[in-house]
Amino acid sequence: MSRRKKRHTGFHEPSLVPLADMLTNTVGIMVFILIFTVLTAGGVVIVKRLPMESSTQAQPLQFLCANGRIIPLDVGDASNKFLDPLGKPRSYYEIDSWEQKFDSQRIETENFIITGEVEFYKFDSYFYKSASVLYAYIEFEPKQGKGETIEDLKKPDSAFRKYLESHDSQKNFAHFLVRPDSLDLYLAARSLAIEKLGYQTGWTTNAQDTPVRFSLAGGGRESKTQP
Amino acid sequence: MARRRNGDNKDHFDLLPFIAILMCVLGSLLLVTISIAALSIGPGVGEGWVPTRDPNKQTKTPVLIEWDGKIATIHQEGKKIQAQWVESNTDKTLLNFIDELAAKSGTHYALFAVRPSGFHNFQMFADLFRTRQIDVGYEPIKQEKPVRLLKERKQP
Repeated sequence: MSRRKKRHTGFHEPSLVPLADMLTNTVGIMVFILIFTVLTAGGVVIVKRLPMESSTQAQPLQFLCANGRIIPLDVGDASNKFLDPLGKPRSYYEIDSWEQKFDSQRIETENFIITGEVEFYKFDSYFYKSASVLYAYIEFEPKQGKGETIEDLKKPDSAFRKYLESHDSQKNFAHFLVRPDSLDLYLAARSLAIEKLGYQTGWTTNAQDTPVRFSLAGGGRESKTQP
Repeated sequence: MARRRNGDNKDHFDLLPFIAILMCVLGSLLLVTISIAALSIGPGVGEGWVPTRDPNKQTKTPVLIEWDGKIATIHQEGKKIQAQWVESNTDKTLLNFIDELAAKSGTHYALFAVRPSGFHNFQMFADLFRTRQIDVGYEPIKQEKPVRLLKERKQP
C-alpha cells in the first residue's frame, strides 16, 4: 500500500487502487472463463450418418416404443388371431352383421389389446348386388407394464435382443414405431440393432396415446429403412 | 473503510472487508460459471449433426428442416427461415422452398429433425416433399434441443 500523506493522528490512509485493480482483474478472469466455458460447451457435436429413407426387399420386424418400453409387434400373427374367429362373409346379406362383429371385436395378446374397424362399399341394383372393402384396419394399444425398459435392453439376455437374434438380419430389418415419450429408448434400441446385431433399421412417428393402426386392405404407408 | 482505534492512539487500516467483497464476487461468478456450464453440457446442449459420406454409395446433400408440428424451420445457407404449415394451408415460403428443393432433388434431400410435438402430423408434412419426388430422411430430436448441420466429414 502506498502512503499518501501522514496525518497528525498517525493514521496512514492506504490507496484503494491496488485493491480495485485486484478486484477488476479477478472479475475479468472469471468473465473470460465464463465465455470460454459457454463456447466450449456449446460446441458439443454429435456425429451421425444422416438418414435417408429407402425401400428394401427385407421384411420389417415391427417394434413399438411407448411409455418408455419397447414391445415387439407381430402384425401378421395378430391379424390372424383377430380375423380367424370372424370367418368370412359368405354372401352380400351377411356383410352388415360381419361388419358389426369386426367393429365390436376386441382381443388380447400377451402385450396388446387389439381392436378393428371396417367399412364396405355396397352396390345394390335390382339385378346386381356387390360389396367391396372401403377400408379395414386393426389397432394395437400396448398393455401397461409390458415390454422392456432401456435398462433391460442392456442385459445380454434381453427379449429384444433374443427376438432379433432369432431372425435373419439379411432378410429382415428392425422398424420402430416411436412415441414422443420414448426417444431415448428408441435410440438405444436402434444402436443395439445396428451395431451389435447387424440389422438395418427404420422408424416412424406415432402420436402419444394414439393406437398403432395397420391397414388390412392395403393403401397404408410402407415401412422403409433409413440407412 | 474500516478504521480501528487502538489503545495507543494509532489507526490501522483493516483489509478484511475488501477480502470479503473479493471472495463474494469470486464466489458469485464461480456459481454463475458452473450453472451456465452445467446447463450447456446437460439439458441445454445442442446437437451438431455431421454428415458422413459413404464412399460405396452415392449420397445426397442434406437440407435440414426442423419440424415441431406447426412451424418448419429451414436451415439454408447459414440462415434459418420459418414457415407455417397446416393441412389445409401451405405457407408461400414453404412452397417456394419445396420448389427450389425439387429442382435440385438429384443432389439434395430433405432431412427432418422431428420434435415430439410434431409426431402426430409429421408423415403428412413429409408427404409434401415425397409427392415432389424429393428424398426424405428424418431423425427425432428432443423438444427444446437446438440442432444444426455441420460441415461434411468423410468417412474413414
